[in-house]
Amino acid sequence: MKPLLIQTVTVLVFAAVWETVAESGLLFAGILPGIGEILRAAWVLASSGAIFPHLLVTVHEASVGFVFAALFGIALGVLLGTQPFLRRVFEPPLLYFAATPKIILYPIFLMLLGAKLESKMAMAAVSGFFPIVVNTTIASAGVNRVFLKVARSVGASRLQIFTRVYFPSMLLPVAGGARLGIGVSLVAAILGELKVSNAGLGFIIMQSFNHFRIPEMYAGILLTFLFAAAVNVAMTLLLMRCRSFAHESAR
Amino acid sequence: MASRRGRETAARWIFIAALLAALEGVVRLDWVDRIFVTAPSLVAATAWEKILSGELPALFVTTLFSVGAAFLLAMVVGLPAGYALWRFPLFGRAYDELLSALFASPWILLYPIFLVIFGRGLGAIIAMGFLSGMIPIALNTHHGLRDVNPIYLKVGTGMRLKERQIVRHILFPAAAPMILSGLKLGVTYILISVIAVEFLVEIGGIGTLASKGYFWFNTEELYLGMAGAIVLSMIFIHLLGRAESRLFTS
Repeated sequence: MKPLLIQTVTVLVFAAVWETVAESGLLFAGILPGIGEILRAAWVLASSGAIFPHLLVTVHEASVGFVFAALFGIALGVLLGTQPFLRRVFEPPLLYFAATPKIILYPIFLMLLGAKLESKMAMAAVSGFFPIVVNTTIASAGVNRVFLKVARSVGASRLQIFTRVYFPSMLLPVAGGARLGIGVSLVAAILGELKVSNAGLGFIIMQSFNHFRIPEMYAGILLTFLFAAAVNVAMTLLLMRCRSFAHESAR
Repeated sequence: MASRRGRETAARWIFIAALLAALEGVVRLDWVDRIFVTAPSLVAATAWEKILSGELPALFVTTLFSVGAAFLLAMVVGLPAGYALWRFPLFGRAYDELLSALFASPWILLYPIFLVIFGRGLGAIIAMGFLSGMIPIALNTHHGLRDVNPIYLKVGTGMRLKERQIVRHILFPAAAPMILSGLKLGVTYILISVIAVEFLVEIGGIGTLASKGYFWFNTEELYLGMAGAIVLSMIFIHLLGRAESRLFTS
């Protein structure tokens, strides 16, 4: 109970300091609008429905990108995880590449796919690909050899080995990778929108910035964070479902 | 064993060379539009030109300066913050959760706020880097200290060490691996966010090169910027990994 109290007090103190600085005029008024002003702008964006077409665009980009990331990430991950030679050759460069800022590749997608949704889908796909391929490689390499031997010796077919051995033991780590991947895909799509776009959550934020509608910019960032948090919570719940399913099928 | 590893390394480099050669061939045969894709040899020539003119080294220095400044600030704040979180466990639990939540959120999207507050300059980039590096450093320092085996501390008290001595000779050495991996994580995130923001707002070092190359349809410059950013990150991560393994094998 006590940590919760400290957290609440901290957030309130932060809000109070923010409000005081905003009201005091210490900073140039446009830089730090009051909390009331930001919330009002957020309310206008949400209640007028102005933000929803943009939210849909972002969700569309991120989810198409994520589907590609999952398809290629899982396919390559299974290949690398089951072929030790390929894994030893390609995993190190893959891990290095995973830790570079993927947004730097954005101009290629802009040139090839244009400034509309497709270039953000590509950004989301490339960014979401890495956590998925890394987790799938580890998951498929970690499938217990004994289980595979037992399955073969009782005459299980390839399909049965896949559904009864590979699938249950890979489900959790792959779902964990997919959860990371969704978050990364979403952020990548929004980053792409912030750079060049004509729709989406990132577009709203950048347009407000460029037209110096600063309260609206803060409101856009706030709503984006709330949406990301909601996605995160939903994924956590889904992962818990996966976990209980995996436990049941393990029995 | 050595020959097997040698074979794998060879296979890796042959693959990369084949990829570059294929790219070179595709461009030379005019199978793709040269505005979209350019040959690695042309990018290398542009790189050589810009190294001689001093432009490329200057960009790298700017990026490394931003990363270094952000890392220094992140350590100066993050390490004591992590220690304080451990020293006051109640606050530790409360703020650990808050920091973890912030770290799990898409904090990179906060950069427009830093642009508004610090203006379009290195200040905004360094502030953004500081935020992305400080959180993992503080969290790992806290976790490292918190998870030190309590028996070690009891042994220290049993030997009648003063609290200062326990912290100096038992607590920090035991927590060092975790703290160091926090520093590694921190500097990796700083590098990513510095290059990303450089690219997004076109200020500072190597990230701007790709952005400008795209804007002016200078394809060689664009690919040089991308390659430079990726190679820089890879060298960085490689050196960090080497440093870490050397520290813990000696």
